[in-house]
Amino acid sequence: MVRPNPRSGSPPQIDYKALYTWAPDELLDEHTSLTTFKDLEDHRGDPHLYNFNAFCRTHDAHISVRPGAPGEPVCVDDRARKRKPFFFMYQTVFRRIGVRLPFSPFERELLTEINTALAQLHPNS
Amino acid sequence: MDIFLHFFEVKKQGKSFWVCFSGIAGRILLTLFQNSYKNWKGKFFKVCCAKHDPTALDGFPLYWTEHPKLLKAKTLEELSPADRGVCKALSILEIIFNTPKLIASEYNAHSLTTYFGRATSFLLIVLSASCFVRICVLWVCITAFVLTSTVWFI
Repeated sequence: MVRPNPRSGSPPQIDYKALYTWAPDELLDEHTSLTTFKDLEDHRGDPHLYNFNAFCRTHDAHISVRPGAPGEPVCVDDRARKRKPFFFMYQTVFRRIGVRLPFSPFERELLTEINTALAQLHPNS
Repeated sequence: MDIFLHFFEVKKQGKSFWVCFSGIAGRILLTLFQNSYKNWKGKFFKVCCAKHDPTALDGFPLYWTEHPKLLKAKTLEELSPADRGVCKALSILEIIFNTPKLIASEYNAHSLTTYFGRATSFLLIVLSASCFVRICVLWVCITAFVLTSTVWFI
């Protein structure tokens, strides 16, 4: 499913449509614009102020938050590039709802019960 | 879990790909965080576990699932007796918890207890006062009945 990229030096392009045959085109087109570490720093804001954008409840050591890869759909898993496990989390869930990591046992149990990834939940719910 | 699923159902709205927790009419537990969300799409981060804590991502689905489990809200009859009692108490007290405060207090047992205490104490006072008034009225009625019976008997 990995197509060689004609431009040398850049990573090979993945045919997400072939990997995720069940996913509609609109879902495969849902990828993140937060793709640089500057986006991550802008989200975190000034570390000396009370941080409304923090990722973790106490400190960020338990979790590693990274920018997304350009063109990577929200429905991908670790099969595409055989990387370490990860999940996607919408910025608004940190910023406006204030959800922090790691998840509580209740949050884990609820996501498991409904067989749904966090990014798959509408923020309004 | 079952108590939560008594107050909410899991569904998809229209052709949306996203799954929603939707409140049930007449069963309000939490305030709506915001009536509508806009401009959240296309802005997400990738979360991985740190090297020293490989279990941080255990115990819940990480990746978008093809078949999320859509659930109808549980009826009182489907709940265990203990959960049914809690749901009935919550509906009698008509408490609506403030979602942002709950999220902010999560994992902070002291502030959560304080918040729950404030949310319920006023209603308990009202209920207690109401019960006290009813007991007084009942006592007055019984006394009046006894006195009337005594007078009639004499």
